[in-house]
Amino acid sequence: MAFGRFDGGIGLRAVFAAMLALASTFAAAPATFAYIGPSYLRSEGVAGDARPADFAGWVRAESNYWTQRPELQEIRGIRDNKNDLLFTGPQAPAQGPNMLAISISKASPSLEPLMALCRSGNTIPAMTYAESSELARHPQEHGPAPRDVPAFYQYALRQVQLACPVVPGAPEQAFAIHFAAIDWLNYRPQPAPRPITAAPALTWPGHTSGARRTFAISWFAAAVDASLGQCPRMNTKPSEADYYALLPRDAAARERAQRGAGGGIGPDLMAFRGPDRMHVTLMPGIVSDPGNVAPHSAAAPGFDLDLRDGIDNQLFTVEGCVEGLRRRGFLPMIFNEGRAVGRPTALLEVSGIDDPQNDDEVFVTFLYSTDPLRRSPAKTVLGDYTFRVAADPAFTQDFARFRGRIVNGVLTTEPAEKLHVHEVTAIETTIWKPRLRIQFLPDGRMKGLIGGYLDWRRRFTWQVFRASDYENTIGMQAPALYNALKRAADGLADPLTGELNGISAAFDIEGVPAFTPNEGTAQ
Amino acid sequence: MMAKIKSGRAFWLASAAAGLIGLAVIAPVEDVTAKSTAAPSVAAAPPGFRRLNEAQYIRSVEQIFGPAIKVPGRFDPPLREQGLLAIGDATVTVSASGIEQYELRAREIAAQAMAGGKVSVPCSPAAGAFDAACAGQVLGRFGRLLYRRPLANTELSAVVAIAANAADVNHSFAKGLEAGLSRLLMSPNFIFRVERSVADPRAPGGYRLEDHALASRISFLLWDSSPDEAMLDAAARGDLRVPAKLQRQVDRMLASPRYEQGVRSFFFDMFGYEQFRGLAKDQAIYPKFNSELARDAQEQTLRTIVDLLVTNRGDYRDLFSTRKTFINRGLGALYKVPVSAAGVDGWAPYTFPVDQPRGGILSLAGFLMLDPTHEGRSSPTIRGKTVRELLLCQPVPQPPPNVNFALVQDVTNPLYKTARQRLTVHQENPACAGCHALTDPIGLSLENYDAVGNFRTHENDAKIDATGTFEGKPYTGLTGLSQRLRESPEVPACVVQRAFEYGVGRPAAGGDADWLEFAVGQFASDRFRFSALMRRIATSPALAAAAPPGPVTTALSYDKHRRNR
Repeated sequence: MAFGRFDGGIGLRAVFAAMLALASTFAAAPATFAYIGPSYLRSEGVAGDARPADFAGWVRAESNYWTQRPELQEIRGIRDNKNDLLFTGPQAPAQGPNMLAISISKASPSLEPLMALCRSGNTIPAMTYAESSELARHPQEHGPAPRDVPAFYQYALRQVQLACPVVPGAPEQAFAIHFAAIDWLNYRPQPAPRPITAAPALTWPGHTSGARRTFAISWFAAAVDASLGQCPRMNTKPSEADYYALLPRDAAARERAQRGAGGGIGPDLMAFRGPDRMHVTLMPGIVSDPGNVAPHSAAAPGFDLDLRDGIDNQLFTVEGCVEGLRRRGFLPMIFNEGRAVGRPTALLEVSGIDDPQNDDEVFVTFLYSTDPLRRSPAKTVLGDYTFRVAADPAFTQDFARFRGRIVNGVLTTEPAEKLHVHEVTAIETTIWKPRLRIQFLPDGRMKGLIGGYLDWRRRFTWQVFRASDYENTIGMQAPALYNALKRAADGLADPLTGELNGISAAFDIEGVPAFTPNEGTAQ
Repeated sequence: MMAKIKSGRAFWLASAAAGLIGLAVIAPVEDVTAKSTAAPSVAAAPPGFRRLNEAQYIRSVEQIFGPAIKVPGRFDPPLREQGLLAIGDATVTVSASGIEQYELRAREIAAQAMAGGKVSVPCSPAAGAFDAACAGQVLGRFGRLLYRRPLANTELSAVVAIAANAADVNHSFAKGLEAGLSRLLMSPNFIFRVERSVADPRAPGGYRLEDHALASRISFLLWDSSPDEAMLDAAARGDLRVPAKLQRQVDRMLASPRYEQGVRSFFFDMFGYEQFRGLAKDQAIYPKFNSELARDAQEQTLRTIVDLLVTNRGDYRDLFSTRKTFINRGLGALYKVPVSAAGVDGWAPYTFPVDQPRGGILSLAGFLMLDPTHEGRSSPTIRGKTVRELLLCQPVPQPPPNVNFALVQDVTNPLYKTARQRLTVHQENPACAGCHALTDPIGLSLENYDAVGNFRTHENDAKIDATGTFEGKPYTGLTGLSQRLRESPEVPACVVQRAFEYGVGRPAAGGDADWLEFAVGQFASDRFRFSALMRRIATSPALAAAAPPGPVTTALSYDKHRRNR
């Protein structure tokens, strides 16, 4: 595993400018954040197999989106520092007529009755639909929902007609639910995101005896950098052939001719390559799995999270051969560029050090500061700067502390409940059951690994944050990654269903020496 | 004196001449200067003609018209002569483009002053009318502040006439006043400190500085800015020739917040801080260096000085040992120490812990990085030369021509890993050895600090030998050198000499020696309190001493005098 210093040649301003340009491009294009996860549909005469008590007998859907051509939502954090402490309600329209798209697993026993209903062509007087308020939320928000927000929004859809284009080989079936009217049953549309607050996760400073070392995190990204020799080939973005694949031949020919002079299919259109031009980054199961190229490797960086069968880093097998997710790829680069300007700066404090080589008990505290990292003209993150620990609840809610020990200079911690890593312009990463292994380097820096589990659906949402533009930029196909993540899931079992919601992962972490204000001693 | 102005602009010269003539009409006042002082006299030098530097110009404008005034344009560069910019100010001229800049600047300042209500006008002439008496009142008041003396009647009449003409053309009394102010601002009587000597009745055949010129000397010494109205009033009353009244004025100025700026300006000059402008280091070697850090380094030392010498009325010699300073985020990173929360956004007081290799201003980046001649390495020779010249007032000769520096500059030579090794070989050249013997023992003891001030123990993996000798006494490292300097009588003697030279605007001459030695003794008896030194200089006849205007004669320099003793 390489720990070489990142030396990206693109300045942050240029990168943000590029992102801004991309956002502008998308302003006129249909795209939205993905709702990947369970939602529930109730229809008279269709018996569902949903397990949650509140939705017993309902039909479970795997993903959804609202409207025929979903509107763009903004990326927060490009122009200004984003505010995580907001709560945005659902994307459902306030009134009809409109459309809801859902995907149903082809393994669902409800599929056949629903297909029969669809094929009948009958207008259904009413259906009830429920979606998670957390999954429907703007994905860059973070913090507890207001008390009046239900766990699931429920809607009555009236005068419904279904469309159900079939794609043989697709793992999920798409349904377009056209409704004449919609009633919000347990929540009211809000004119704007609602401000919220959050409680600090812990008290800082905590452990005060012994020595203390603080590091400013200069690099954080998934440890998925398989060597090129381990990838038989790299994954690729969707092609024009993929776009036309599900169109009837004559329609495809007409569109090809129409677009011939226009330069082909841009990323704004490419996402609508599902059946009936449905959106495949929002409902990635509705087309055939193109297949994800995985690294051929018997080893990967990480932890033995479950204490059996060696290293658990299934994310490595999914993302290892995706160019834009590797260490020098677009996403790690853009997120670490953002980190470098302190929006925010993550700090890692090791306290209670009695012996830097062998110590039975030390504490690792993960903190945030809004003071920026400083970099050299060559973009190297510089050490030795002082960072004030943030008091903003947007960040204090995510302070985390680990108990650890140092053996022969290597610090390893016990697992904590979760670690939430803030980002500037992106969906943020929550690592469940996280643990750290870090090493102090002779030049004062630190490097290490964080291991744990990710919600694989959330990870997919992260990967398609900008819909098909990310497919293009990162070099992957959303349906391939979706299916690969689902197959590789190996943790966070649902206590009710046993379904695996988590994927094991490891993250490289690097830091430069830093200080927090030390009012009582040196000054 | 006017021969120094190379521009051919007729107005400018005429205006300057009018100013000089105008001085002669100031009514003499009774001379009651005390004769009781036991101080020796100084060499009487011709009165000076000193160009305001950029900071003095801006500060004077802000003081007279208010801090919101923006002063535009470029200024001619300063000139350092014989250790001080203040001496260079007395030898520089104004370039042709510089005069254009002064003109442009004068117009813009005058326009801002009038538009911004900075000029109170005690009359309201009817539209199209010009009230000459009112204009004379306004322009006379501001002319006095700008020229640092009252305007002669002929000067005031000329400026009022200009205002009248402009008011007529523009159909605006305010525009007329603006033109008058602009003319005052571009006068050499503002841009230069035009000094004049007058016969001294106490000493038949002797001369002294005219009262307003003395007021300016004191004001620029203590505030680095023009005298305020109270000081000009005191000069007009003849108070500056009455020791008790002079003392009161000086004490008032020392108690003013402007005095801090005066102290900053003096040490800015004494320590050569104009070299910070454009200071460059190789950022591939010193990645934390940038122009902001350079500004911070300068600021840190100046804050340290003001805090010790002004706020805490400390011993000047403690500048070489104090661990108390001020710090901000960038410097904290350079020194590898945490700063307080206040220091992350700005400046905060800081005391270096005893386990840190920092103490005294020599250990601060403001000294360690200030070498414009070496971007990629430290130079013990330059550092030693700096200590000799700036702190000890001991000039070091320039290197002879055709010296081969290749060996010294090659930091990659595996045979000579440290600066000490490289300089030892270099000194085998007898032409070099003499001067390097003066500089290198000092500079080599500072080699634990690289070219921007990072602490280091090794150079090219070789352990640094930071031993040195000073005045025959051995020591180790910067702390040892600082202790030696703190104990050295040359250090307070040098600051006394520089403060005197700064005040009078000329290098100390042999004829000043007795007075300087007397002043050094007083400095010691004042327990090396810098403000006491400034008070003594400001109130001393030495600052007011002047020869009749005439050709400049060559005098034996004080440095040479000291060396000949």
